[in-house]
Amino acid sequence: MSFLEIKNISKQFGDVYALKEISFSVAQGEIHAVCGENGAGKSTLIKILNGVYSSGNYEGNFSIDGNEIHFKNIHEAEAAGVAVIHQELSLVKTMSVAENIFLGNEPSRFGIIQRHQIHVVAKKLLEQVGLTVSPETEVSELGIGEQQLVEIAKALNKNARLLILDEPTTALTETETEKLFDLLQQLQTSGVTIIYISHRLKEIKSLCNRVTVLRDGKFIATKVVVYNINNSGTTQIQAEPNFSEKELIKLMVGREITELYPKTQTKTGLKVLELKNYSLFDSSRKRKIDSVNLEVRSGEILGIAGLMGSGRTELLMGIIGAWKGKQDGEILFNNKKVKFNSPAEAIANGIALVSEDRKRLGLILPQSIRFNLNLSTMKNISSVGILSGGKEMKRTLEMIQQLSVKTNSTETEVQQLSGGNQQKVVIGKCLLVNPKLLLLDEPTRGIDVGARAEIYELMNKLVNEGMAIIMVSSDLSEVIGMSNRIVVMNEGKISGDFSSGVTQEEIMMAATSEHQFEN
Amino acid sequence: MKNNLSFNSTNIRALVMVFALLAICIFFHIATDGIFLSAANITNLVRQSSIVGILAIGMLLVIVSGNIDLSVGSLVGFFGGIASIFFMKIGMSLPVAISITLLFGFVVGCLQGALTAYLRIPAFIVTLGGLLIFRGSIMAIMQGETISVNNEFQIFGSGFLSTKISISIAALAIIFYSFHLFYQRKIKNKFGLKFSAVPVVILKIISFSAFVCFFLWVFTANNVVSEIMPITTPIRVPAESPLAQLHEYQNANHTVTLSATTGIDKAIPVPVIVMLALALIVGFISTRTTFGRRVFAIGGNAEAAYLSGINIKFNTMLVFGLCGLLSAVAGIVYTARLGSAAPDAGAGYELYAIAACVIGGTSLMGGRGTIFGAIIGALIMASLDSGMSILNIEPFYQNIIKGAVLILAVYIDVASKKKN
Repeated sequence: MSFLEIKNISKQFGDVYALKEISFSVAQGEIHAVCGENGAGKSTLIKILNGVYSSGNYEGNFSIDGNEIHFKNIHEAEAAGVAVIHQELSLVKTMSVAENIFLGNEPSRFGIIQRHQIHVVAKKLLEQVGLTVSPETEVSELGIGEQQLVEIAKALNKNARLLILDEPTTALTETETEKLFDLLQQLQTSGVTIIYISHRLKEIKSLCNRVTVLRDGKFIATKVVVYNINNSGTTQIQAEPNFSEKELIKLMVGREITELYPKTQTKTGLKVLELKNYSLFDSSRKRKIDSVNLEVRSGEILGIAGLMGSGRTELLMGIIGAWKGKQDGEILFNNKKVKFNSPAEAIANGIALVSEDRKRLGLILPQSIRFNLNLSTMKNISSVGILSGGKEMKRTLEMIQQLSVKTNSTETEVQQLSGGNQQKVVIGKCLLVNPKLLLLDEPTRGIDVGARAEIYELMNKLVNEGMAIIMVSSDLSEVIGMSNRIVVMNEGKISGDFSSGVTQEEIMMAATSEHQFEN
Repeated sequence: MKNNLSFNSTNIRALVMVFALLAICIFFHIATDGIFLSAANITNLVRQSSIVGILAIGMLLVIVSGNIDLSVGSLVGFFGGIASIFFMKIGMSLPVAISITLLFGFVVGCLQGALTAYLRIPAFIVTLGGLLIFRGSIMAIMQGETISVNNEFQIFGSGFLSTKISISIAALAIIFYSFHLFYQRKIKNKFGLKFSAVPVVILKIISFSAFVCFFLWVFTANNVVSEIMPITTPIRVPAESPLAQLHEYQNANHTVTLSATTGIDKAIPVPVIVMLALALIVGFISTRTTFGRRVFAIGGNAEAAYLSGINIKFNTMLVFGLCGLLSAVAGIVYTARLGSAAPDAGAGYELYAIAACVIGGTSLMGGRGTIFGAIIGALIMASLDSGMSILNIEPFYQNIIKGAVLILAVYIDVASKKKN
């Protein structure tokens, strides 16, 4: 019998299914990988399993140890032994390791915390996870890998029987990763069941027993990765000798490029942007972008593919002048060396960015369409700082019409618009800048198919008029369908450079493995 | 595409505030047997509210930008003192003394803004420090003394415009408003937007004119002694209330000072016209200039504003500069009103200014708020003050009630947003 049995789970957001009739099972003491592209439904699944989406907010059900489960909240899930280690760690950085391990679970007498007991138990748990720091160390002093081990210790303290790890190695070094894998295998031997969410095929191959692939919220397949599982469980799994990374990638990307992408042939012109040995460093001097060389010409859409955290957004932030840390290398814009200290300077030079998160980075939500559209170009509609209502209204109405934003007034607050129309407002704001280079970061995320097609059409029109576009996207079919050229980023480096006729499998390979790919 | 004049949430909020103010007025009018809405008391009330109103105008932009300024009360005392020293002690001419004081106010505001924007010290801390520093400074400078100012200076606080000038201003206001409405209509017509029908425009002009004429009548009716109803019971005001330090309320009898100045041709009080002018100017700045737009964008979503090419630091500094400038104006008006500069003048006013903004629908999260709302907020505060004082409610009850009104106002705002 399976330890975890997921039966026909569906979860809807509005009209969109994040998960649709997912069913699969995980054996006792198994390390089971769940993989899929960004947006495949992995996060939603986690949230159902650990009670963030309470019972009744999704269809279908799941059972642990044969008992059907209906979690009302995270606490019930924790009590039942389900623990999640998130990508972004949820430790309180200003508290000690021991305090974090016992957070919300402090042994106390009459409300007074038993400090001694905490430290004794914490010390034991730290030994178990192989972390050699004092329980009194403040978490902020630990590295990311060590913090992750503290998270696992915290989960163990709650007697976790099902441990879910969400992309745990994204921020880890090689040695930290090895250490983590040793620990996970050790936990497996002691009977803990592990769900391991990852894009990284190499890791799945070296760690997991089986892998389940999700795509567009649907269950695609469960494949066996290794022959035997050394656990105390009873389930025997048949070997699958011809498991291959290629096959897995095919399962992940699956679909064919549809008619959605009206690719047109354009004439590419002069070089608009060129990066030479371009690097970006974060505040702890870690390289986020590592010696990137690329160029975009007018009339061209350059697609940038890659996994989340591969440095694509950071690269755009660097180009637009919004990177706060140190930079290295050269940016040539229209063959002139430039260095923008702020997005204001980049915009003044004709570079505009449609950011990946329109609500957080793109829009002033409580303000009107008119307000938002004209935000980057107020100097064009004002003299001595006083706005011209007529000019502003003219530009607003023209842009609303050009992008067919569905609204009945220029004064509608943008927070009342649908995702697609909000995105059009952000794009409109950028187009009013009259950019020579347009940077699009996930331009169609969370947008319905109709608005998507309109945005693709617009992109084609813009490059036909001679604009250069850089499009970052996690949607591989979109990247292939829309781009004239594609570069793939992998851990801050360019790991693939493809002109055309590239397959999704080739891109995925370049995005997940360590080799360089070109065609 | 249709419409533009439908009631959006901002309009509804403004209407709710106006009705709340009216309800308060009517309640007090009945409760005080008709004293509250007498010409004398209305004149007095709007005069009272002008200082907090001026501060609230500056505070509004600071709050909209996502910050707070706790130093404005101390700045009132500081610049009141500075201006009177420049004018009375150093002997500068009045225009020079006032210009320098205002410039000084702007610079001091910018300084606090720079500490907030460029050095990233939270505004709450910078201005809390400012609150102590400026109060301490002016006490040190004035050595605890008060400086009396002469009649020339007092015009800014206690002066009135003559009936002729008042009528001209009122007429101009009505003409300007009518012109504005028709111009809007023309613009909307030009872009094929839905515009109001002529009767609607005319109705608006008539109501605006009625409103202006009513106040004109109220202010001029002050000249007639018989309009004033005597109040014989002593009036109690909380010591830290803006009312307490103004001389009308230092007299036990409400009528004394009000009737004392009759016989002179006086209509609109100078501080009221100062407040209205500033409200108009800053209202224009906040909605019709690039600077105002930027302030709302920064408060609404600083990151998005930055990525849209807005210089957050510089504009944040300017907002504080403007608030400092307006604090200096309030300081001058306050000193003029009292007839002397005292080192403890304006203590606690920052809280009244913040309360006025918040009651007027300003979001402390930033990005939302109107000058109109802030002025209404100041009027609501002043009405509560005045009404309860006439009713002779004990000062501590007055504070309890004002506190409760503040919380209630914000609750109504939060609850109405939830529904949307």
